[in-house]
Parts: sequence; structure tokens; C-alpha cells
Amino acid sequence: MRHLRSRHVGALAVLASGALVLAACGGSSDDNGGGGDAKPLSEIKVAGVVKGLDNPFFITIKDGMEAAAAEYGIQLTVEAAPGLNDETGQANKLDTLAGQGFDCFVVIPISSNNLTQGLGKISQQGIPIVNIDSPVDPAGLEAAGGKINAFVGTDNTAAGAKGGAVMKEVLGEDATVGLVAGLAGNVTSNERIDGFQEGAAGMTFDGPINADWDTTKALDAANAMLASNPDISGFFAANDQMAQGIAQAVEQAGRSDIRVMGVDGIEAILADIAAGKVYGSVSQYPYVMGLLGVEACIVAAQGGTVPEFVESPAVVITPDNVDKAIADFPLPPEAYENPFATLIQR
Amino acid sequence: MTPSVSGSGVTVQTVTPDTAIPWRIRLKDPYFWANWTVVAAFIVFFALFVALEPGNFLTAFNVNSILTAAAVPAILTLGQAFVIMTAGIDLSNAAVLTLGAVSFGLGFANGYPLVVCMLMAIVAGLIAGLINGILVAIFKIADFIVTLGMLSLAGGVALVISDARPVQVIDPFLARMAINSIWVVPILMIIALVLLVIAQFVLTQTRFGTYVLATGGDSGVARAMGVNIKKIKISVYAISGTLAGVAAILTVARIGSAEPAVNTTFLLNSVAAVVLGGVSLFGGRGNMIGPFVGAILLMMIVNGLTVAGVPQYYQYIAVGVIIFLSAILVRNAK
Amino acid sequence: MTMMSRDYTVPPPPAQPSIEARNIDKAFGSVQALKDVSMWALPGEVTAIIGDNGAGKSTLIKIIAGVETADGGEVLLDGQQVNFTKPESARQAGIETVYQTLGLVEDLTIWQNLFLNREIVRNWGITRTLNKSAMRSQATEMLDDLDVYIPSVKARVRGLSGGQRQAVAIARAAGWSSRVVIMDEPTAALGVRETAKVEALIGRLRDKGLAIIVISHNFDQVLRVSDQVWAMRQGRVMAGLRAAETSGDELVALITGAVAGATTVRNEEGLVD
Repeated sequence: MRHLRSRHVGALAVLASGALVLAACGGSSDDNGGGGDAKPLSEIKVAGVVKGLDNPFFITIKDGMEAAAAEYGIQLTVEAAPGLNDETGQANKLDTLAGQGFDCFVVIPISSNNLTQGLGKISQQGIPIVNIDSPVDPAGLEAAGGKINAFVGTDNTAAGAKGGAVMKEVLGEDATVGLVAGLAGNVTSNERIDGFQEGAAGMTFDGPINADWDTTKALDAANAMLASNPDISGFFAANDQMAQGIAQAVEQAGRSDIRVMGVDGIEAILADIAAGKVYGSVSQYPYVMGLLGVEACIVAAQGGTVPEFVESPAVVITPDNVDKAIADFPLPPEAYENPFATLIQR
Repeated sequence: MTPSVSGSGVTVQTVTPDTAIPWRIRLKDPYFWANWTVVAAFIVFFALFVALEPGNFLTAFNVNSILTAAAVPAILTLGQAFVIMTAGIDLSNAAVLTLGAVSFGLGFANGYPLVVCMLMAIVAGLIAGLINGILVAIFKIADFIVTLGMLSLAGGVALVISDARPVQVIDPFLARMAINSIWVVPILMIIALVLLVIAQFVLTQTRFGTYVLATGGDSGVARAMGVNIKKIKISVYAISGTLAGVAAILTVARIGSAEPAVNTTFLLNSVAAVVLGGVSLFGGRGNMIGPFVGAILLMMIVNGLTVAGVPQYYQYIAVGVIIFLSAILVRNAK
Repeated sequence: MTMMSRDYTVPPPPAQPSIEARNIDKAFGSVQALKDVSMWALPGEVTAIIGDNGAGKSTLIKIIAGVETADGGEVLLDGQQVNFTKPESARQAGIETVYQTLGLVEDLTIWQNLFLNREIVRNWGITRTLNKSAMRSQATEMLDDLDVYIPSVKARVRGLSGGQRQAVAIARAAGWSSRVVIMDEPTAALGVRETAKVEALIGRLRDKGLAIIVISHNFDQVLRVSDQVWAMRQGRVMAGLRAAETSGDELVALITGAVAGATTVRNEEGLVD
């Protein structure tokens, strides 16, 4: 017990130096005021808050953001919540970044509401906000005194519908499709599933069962659905990671007749489509979304006006166009519209 | 009083009452260290982050962000501390929070007055807590299993009630509560601090508090002494559930909607904060201040690392390492 | 050398006993733990109960302390018949027990242990708070009263030695007891010096006028410390002797059955065989 104090001091010193080392891994940021017209690119700081960095879709968005940052020479910081459903964690991240002197924010909220208060505070500081992929609820935002300068994304319902149309074409109206949704209650998931059912109207649907965006849970869900309904000839998953789980289940069940489709267009799914394990995916080109998002931010940070709604490309990838898709990845196999590039002042 | 030696070789010595234990002796008491290690760690990290990012860390805005983020975890931690002090554990608090939030949303969607919605959240938490407590105390099922089951059950009931869809809650009072602050301290944190004061009072100044520690320290002895173990155990789980209901209201205010998804980070952080705060997982000792500070510390670390620009993945590692080290430190203080 | 069997007929108690058991029967399932057991303990005396394992000592103690209820027979407290259905009733009647496992909560302080479930509170109307200063000073008094050396009542039990813990447990029992203190193997786990201290403490308790009942396997201790000894064997009382009038050898012989003891008798009520 005599040595208690010195042992404690020693341990605390270890703790402190450990954290110091870790902190040194990151750089320190300069405190730079925002505002001013046609700010030089090298001085522009953009913050991105995405849903979660353990998902390839959002990692690709981050890649697109970084590509834009590299091309224009701006400073970019991307943060995410520890998990895809940690709404409070994401709000905490945004709050932390809000006070750090960024010129513009690119955000993908986990739910339509969880970032609203933080965004309100940011708008009140006069900092522009670009919302990509998952929309922030406009009414809530307005009540919090916030304002979105631009939205870049795909209408998730339209994306689902495109997938539904393709499924209907391939299987015909008399078939049954199993639906596997993401996190229960999630807006993106709901829209994609609803959209799919619209696009595939007339077909019979089983589910939707929630698999929380998780590959293994989707595998189990697919097995359960197959067991209770062997008539299923197709599966639609609200994201690609779940589609991969379903494809595994289908393969293990020996049902090569079943068509599996997902949404997202991640690189792994393209390989699966080429290999014939998965039939298709509605690719939303996360890379482009990230790219466009940052570009929109640059324009806004320079004081320019951005168009309020920009649709990022959504293409259904099937065995017909998968080779080109793989070759062009992460960009879409088709050309797309970029309204921002011309607005940026170098 | 001077010591005297009686015939049998035993000395008599009186102790001056209450406050006169010298600090030298206090510092040698391992219990002191277990409780206050977290405060020391807090000071160290605070100083560290201020030194690293003087312009960005110690701003009113940033401190406000930290305290806002810490309010809900701190409240959950108080409830968890009560339970762990009886040598139990509540794995369901995050799910009960969701249940409370969804109950709030149900009331709100039906147009009930705000107070009623708040009551619905709290009552939902209380009921869940009572069920936990009764299963543990009366049916003698292991706390781990009971609360694990409640984690599933509450999450599932939340999905059923809400039909898996979030309810948007836009209300000026809640918005003010979530956004406003007094100086740098957000109202949310003030609410948490009030609960801390009450909890610490109950623990140290009431018989209930003594019985909680006795139950955790040695429930057999406590029972033999006539303490109603069942009542104590039911009470602490009920407290944890009720506090989860209160935390639900604050969460709904903060994110503007009643969401049906369970955020397990809350659960993990509440247990980590309790252990960091010097409460033994085997029960029987600790106070409320340590865990509360631990909850704030965890949020401060994430914030500090973000401000310092530490890449996301290293942040996870850092938090994990810090929890390990702190647990070892606390453990060595025996 | 064979032991002379002498008349083990038990004389009636020389004074009103604090506690008396008459013809107690107790069975657990098919096992008859106590058979027609009678004994008594006087105030201001140390009464020892000895016997081999399974002799029924613990069961007898539990019945007196209200932890078990007898199937037959009666228990009298200061001459009045009592019927304890739970330990709490026995405690309220003034009977306290110090168990082998001590019954102290290690993480709590001495004063907290002394006052567990008997806390002194201040009443504020809607709530009652602990009156810690009163409890601390009374705890100090309780220990001083018995000449127990503890540096501070604020110390946690965890940091005390075996003898000190035993002293605290005994002080608690003595502090709350008004009549009878029962101790089950109080020095079994202690070294020589601490045993001596605890025996001295027991002596002081006796001097205060309480009836002390001690279960012990240590016959030297029994002869040293007690005034009355009850020897039990296989659920029956073999003899009740004044400690001064017996020896270690005799006690051994009684509890092992080498010598035929008497079945318990009550002279006043007539002989019961």
C-alpha cells in the first residue's frame, strides 16, 4: 500500500503518453475562419459526416469525397458514427465538428432527424450544408433553424422501382419475390422496399423481413423464407451486403434458379454479378455522390449558389452491363451530369 | 483521550468522530483510490486535450458539445451503478430506453400532451425494470439472463408498438430543452446532474443506500441481518429502468424523433463507465460520482480524439485501450 | 483406567435461567436431530454446549435463535414460554447469535456493520436520512464498553484481522442483545493470542449479566471459560455439569459414549426417561 501513490502516478503517466502517441497520429487542424467570397481552394476546409465506415457503400462515398478533395486541393475531414445505427453517436460527431471552423458540411444522417439540431446550429453560424444520399427531414430542420443548400442523391424509392422493374421483366408477374429489409424503421430501407414493390407491381411478395443491413442475418432470413416458402424464385435486399448473404443461402440450398438483387453497387457485388451468384444490383454510385457532394460544398464555401436538388446516377447493373461497370468502377458505366464542376473557381 | 493499558493487555482508544481522518490515511485507503482514479484520469485527459488543441478543445462550444453528448449516458450510468452495486447487472437499459422513446412517440403521435408522453416513457421504463427485478429477486433467475432477455423483449415490443417506423417529434419545449444551456452547461446535463445529486444522496444518506451496498457485499449476511434482499434487488432494477425512461425523453428531445432502433453503444458505455468509476462488478462498494465522471470521460475522449484529428479507426482502439488500462488501475487499488 | 460412571441426573437450575429448553424434539425428514433435549443457561454465566459432529448442537442453537422451530417441547425465556417463528422475533426478544461465518459485510465499515438494519435515522417527514455521527459515536462506545481495540470505527471490515472481526461480530451481538448471546465456535479460526483476547471479551460479556451460550470443540477452552457445560450425543443431552466439577477426560467420555450419561430429567415435573 505504501507504493500505491507512485504506482498510480506511473500508470497515469503511461495512460497519458499512450494517448499522446495516438493523438499524434492525427494532425492538428489550423483554426481558420470561414466565409469570404471566392476563397482560395487551399484554404477551404470541408467536413463530412457519414453513416458508418464499416460498410463498403459509405467507404466508397468517402473515397469519392477524398477524390474531389484531392482534385481541388482542399482540406477534408470525414467522420462517422461507430455503427450504422448509432444515431446519437453520429449527432455527437457532428456537434464536435460544428465548432471547429469548417467552411462547409457534407452529411448523410442515419435517420431523417438525428442530426437536425446540430445542423441547425451550423446553419445559424452561416455555414452551408450539403446533404447526400439519405435526406434530412425538411420540416424538422426548419423548426431547428437549419437550412440545406443542396441535396445530392438518388431517390431511394426510384432506385427500388428500377430494381423491381428488372425483376419483373426477368421472372414474370407470376413469381414470388422474398423481400429483405435493412434496419427496422430505417427510411432508406423502407423507401427501397416500397419502391421495389411499386416497380414490380403484380408480383407476389414474401416479407419484408428485417436483417439490419447485416450479411449473416440476411443469410438466416433467406433460409427461413425458403423453408417456409419454397416457391420463391427471387430475392430483393435493401442493400448489397445483405444480397451477398442471401446469395450464399441460395447457393447452399442448391437453388441456382433463384434471382437475387440488391441495392448499392459495391465493388464486391459487381464481381458476384459477373460470377453469376447475384443477378443484379441497383447501383447508386456512392463514389459519385461523395464527389458531387464535396464539389457542391466547395461551390457553396466560395459563396456560389448551388442547385438545390441534384440527382446522382442510379443504374441497374445486370450481367448485361456488369463488365463495363467493373471496368469503370467506381464511376458509372454511363455518363452523368455534374453541375458543380463549372461553378468552382480555381 | 489518552490510551490506557488495562490488565488484560488491551488498550482503550477513542476516535474523534467524523471528519478527522487525516489525509495521509485517506490516501492509503484503496477504496479512496478506486473511487477517485476516474477523477484523476479525467483531469489527465482533459489537460492532455487542452494541451494538444488549445484553440479548439477548450472552447465554450466544444465543452458544451461534450456535456450534451454525455447527458444521456450519464443518466443510464447512474441506474447501472445501482444495479451493479448489488452485484447484479442490467444489460437491458439501452433497449428499455428505446422502449421508453417509442412509448413517448406513441403518445405524441396520438396528440397527447407532452407531460403525458413523458409519463408514458417513464412508466414504460419502470415496468420493464420491475419485471427485471422480480425475475431476479423472486424467481431467482440470473441477472445476466433476465436482462439479456429483457434486451430482446423490450426491443421487440418497441418495434411492435412503433411498427418499426420512427415518429417525428417536433416540439418547442423539447427543442429548447435540448438546445439551451446555462453558461456552457446544457440543460440536458443539468438534468443529469440533478439526478446525480439525488442518487448520491440516496446511496450515502439513506438506509436504502446502505442496504444496496450490503446486498452486493454479502447478500447472505444482509439477509441474516434482516435486510429485505428481495425488495432491494427489485428496487435497483426498477431504478435502472425508470432512469432509462428518463433518458429516453432526453434522447427524443435531442434527435427529434422516437426511433425504434436499439443503440447498444449506450449499454456498453454504461457498464464501462460504472467500472471506470470504481464500482466493483462484484458489488458492495462504490459511489455515484465516479461512474458519472466516467461517463463524461468516455464522451470527452471521443470528442478529444475527433478534435485532434485522430483517424476514426484509431479512436476505437484508443477508447478500448483506455478502458483496459483504467480497469487495471482500478483493480490494483485493492 | 475406567471412568467411574457417576450420577448424571441434572439438578434443577440454581436460579431463574435466562433461557431454558424443555424436552425439545426436532426431526429433519427421517433423521431425529434432537430427542427430548432439555438444558438451561443462567444470566451472568457462560454456558458451553459440546458434542461431536451430528450431536445436535447447531440444531439446538437454531431453535433457540428462532431459525428453526421445534417439533415438540418448549423454550422459555426468563421463565416465559416463547415460540419464535423467525430469527427476527428472537432478536427482538433479546437473543443474538454470532455465527461461524460471522455475518459481517466486508466492504462496509465497522459502524455500518454494527448498525446494519438498525440504523439510527433523522426523520425529515418525507424521508429519513442516516444519522452517521450518532452511529459512529455509539459504535465507538459499544466497542469501548467491551475493551475492544479498533483504531477507527470508520475502517472497513475487510482490513481487520480475524480476531478483530470476531470482536466486532461479538460486540454487535452484545450491543443489541438484552439477554442471550449465542456463539458458534467463536475462536475456531483464530490463533492463540487472538483466542485469548476473544475469551477475555466473552468474560466481560458475562460480567455484564448476559447469558452466553458457546458451542466449542476445544475442551480446554470450555473448562477455562464456561460455568456450565452441556454434553450432547446423538441428539440427546448426556449430562449438564458445572465446569468446575468436571474434567476434559470426562467430557470426552460423555460425548463419545464411553460413559453412560443420563437422559435429561426434570426434577420438578417428575422424571422423564
